[in-house]
Amino acid sequence: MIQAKNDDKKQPKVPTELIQRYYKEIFDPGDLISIIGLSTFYRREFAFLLKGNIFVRNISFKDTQEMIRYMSKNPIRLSYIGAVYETPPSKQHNIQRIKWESREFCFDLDINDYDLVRVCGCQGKEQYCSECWSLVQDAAAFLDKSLREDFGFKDIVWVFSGRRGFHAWVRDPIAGKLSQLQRNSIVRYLTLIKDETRTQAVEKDLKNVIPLRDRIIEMVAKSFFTRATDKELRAEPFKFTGKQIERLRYNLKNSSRPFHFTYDTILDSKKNRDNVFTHIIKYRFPRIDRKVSIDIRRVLKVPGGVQSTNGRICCKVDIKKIYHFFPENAPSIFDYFS
Amino acid sequence: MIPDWVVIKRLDEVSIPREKFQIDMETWPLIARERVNKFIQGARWYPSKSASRGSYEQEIYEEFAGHGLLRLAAADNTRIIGWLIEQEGDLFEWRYLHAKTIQEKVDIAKYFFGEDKVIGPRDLWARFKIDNKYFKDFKMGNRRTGAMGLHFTCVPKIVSIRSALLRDGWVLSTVDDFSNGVKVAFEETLRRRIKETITRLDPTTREAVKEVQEEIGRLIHSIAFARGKVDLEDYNLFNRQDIFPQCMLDLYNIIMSKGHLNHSERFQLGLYLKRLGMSVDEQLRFWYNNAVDNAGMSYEQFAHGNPGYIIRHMYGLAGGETDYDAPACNKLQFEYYCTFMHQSVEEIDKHLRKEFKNPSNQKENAIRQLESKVVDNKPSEACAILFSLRYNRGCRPIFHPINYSTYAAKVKKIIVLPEQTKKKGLPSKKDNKK
Repeated sequence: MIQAKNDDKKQPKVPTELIQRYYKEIFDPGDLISIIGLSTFYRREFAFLLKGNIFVRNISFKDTQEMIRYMSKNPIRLSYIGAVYETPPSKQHNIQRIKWESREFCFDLDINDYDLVRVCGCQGKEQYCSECWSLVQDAAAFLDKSLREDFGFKDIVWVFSGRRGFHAWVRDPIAGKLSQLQRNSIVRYLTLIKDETRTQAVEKDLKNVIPLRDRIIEMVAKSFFTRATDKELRAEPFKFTGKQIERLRYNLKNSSRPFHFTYDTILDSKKNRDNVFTHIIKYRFPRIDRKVSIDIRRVLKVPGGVQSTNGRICCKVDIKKIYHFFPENAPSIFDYFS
Repeated sequence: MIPDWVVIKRLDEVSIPREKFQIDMETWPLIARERVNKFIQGARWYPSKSASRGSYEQEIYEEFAGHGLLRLAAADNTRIIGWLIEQEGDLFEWRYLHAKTIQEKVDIAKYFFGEDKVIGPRDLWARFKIDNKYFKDFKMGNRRTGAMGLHFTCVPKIVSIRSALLRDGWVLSTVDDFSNGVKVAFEETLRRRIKETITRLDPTTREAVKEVQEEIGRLIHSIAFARGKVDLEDYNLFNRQDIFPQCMLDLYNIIMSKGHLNHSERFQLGLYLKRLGMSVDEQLRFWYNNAVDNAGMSYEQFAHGNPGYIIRHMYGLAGGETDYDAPACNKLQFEYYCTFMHQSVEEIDKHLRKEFKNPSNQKENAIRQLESKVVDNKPSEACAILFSLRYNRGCRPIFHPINYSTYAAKVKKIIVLPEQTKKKGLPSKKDNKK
């Protein structure tokens, strides 16, 4: 468990030459192919941030060999991947002119989206600690379960985003064909905090979606109470007595029953159940980057690519072991070229 | 088999012989005119099989003849197409809700969404554990026979607002709760069918339809006018930004200041300006003068190149030749741009404070109320409050940007209804006393 605050600003940026060497000697396109498939590879859009902050889009490759050649010859800082089109994207056939065909349904969870509620003091993309990292771990676990149980998705791959979060790639064939309208409806279903950067208003009315509500209590509320200090629980909006806190702690440790029984019992006499729920959602509910999920032409970091600010590799993460994954566990370019 | 009153059916799917549906330009216009009158009066009806076979066949014949001719007439007239789809959609939804059996409703849903996207009541209870507490807690728990499952991709609106149970990719609720979702599918199919129909017409029929089209156009126009609705094309409202709803004003300001909008936003603003009466030539000139991505291009190159193509496409003069109507708020909120859906409360507040400096207590309360509507995901109500703030008039929720502009134009007396129409449509207190 990491206790110290990590700060990437202190780390040197990765030299472009080293990144080129990584793509030439180490990068295994197998990981990428296992996510995006091979049959449509040549019609897939790639984008790159080159040295000098030059961003290029509308690039496609015949095969992985050509892609590796491009990546090892050009001064690439970051590499991105987009949607599949009817014909291979190029400067002449840019993505606005050609017909969109499909794109995996993706989610982006980032620790800096929680800045307003990070009580540990970490801020921005560069800082995190074990306390606030648990927010994105919780979010990934909750999102994965909701996408499977509510929407019936089965093939979800989680990838470390290289800095401070995770990307989910929903690979089910039906997910790739979802329209913006359909993607938007799912994101809205899974978003309970409106105006995340200011008022953080919470939608509380979940009477028609009891499974979602129960899942929130089972995962989000349980995680909140497990981490809450006595001082927090005695304060607004909980105002728990010593006895209630004792019972809560006992049940969290020993009870084999679902947590909502404990939740309902402890809050039974509370008149401010809505306030308690709002507080929990505000502090621990997943915050999804809507644009990444809804925009069907959006590009996302290439799985297996290098994060140029810290040298970490965007590696796959097993969702079952998400609580054991910390950014330090991700392989680094410096491991290969020490 | 779905009932015959689902008039979107193809003729070979109807239960009466196909040869009965030969186009007859003597009687069809009469039947179509009668339908228009019924629509205008807000009548709701559906053919019933309880009548004798002969009269049932006649009713169905009239259904298909009347609606069929109206669709032909609508096909290349934006104003009629929007009106017809709205009317037929409302009638269809009413018929769906009043269908005699649950099975009929399930069959209709299967017709629009496909067999694999719908689970009827029996299969539903076999597939999901009916003793599960979720079903008991949810309102459908007591109405097992009236429940249905639709794949989540069919009803995005229900998913968004979490008004039904979601399990394994299925949205589960009572059949009636899906009426709006089925109506949307009906309207989409109707739009597609109208487009298909017109391509198959021979020149003689096309010519014959033209007469009916003009007549129906006049009829709709006169009735709408009598009800206080106006033909916006007569007023050049596209030059009056003071009557634009906030979404269009935002887009207009962006194009004026930055010279660039993304594709869907360009389409949104373009269709709105078109509906306010901007001609295709004026629209071409507007984008040529104001969009920066035309730098170095002559007007000729612009008008006949890719940018001009997109504009002509909006008017149905290029590409698929669909004469698009301006999208309603529902569509803008989910697929295009709506200020109250896509701007943060912080941004909206900043804008309001700039527009309404030193607000009175009443206005301050209205601003707060508007912001709470934004937070509660009620953009149409927020837009109505903004209307009240701007024009000092009460306003119902806004469901179409054109409604906002028409009402604003009336308040600002840009549109003045003739005295006679005013008296007919909106009786004054004096008239009532008499």
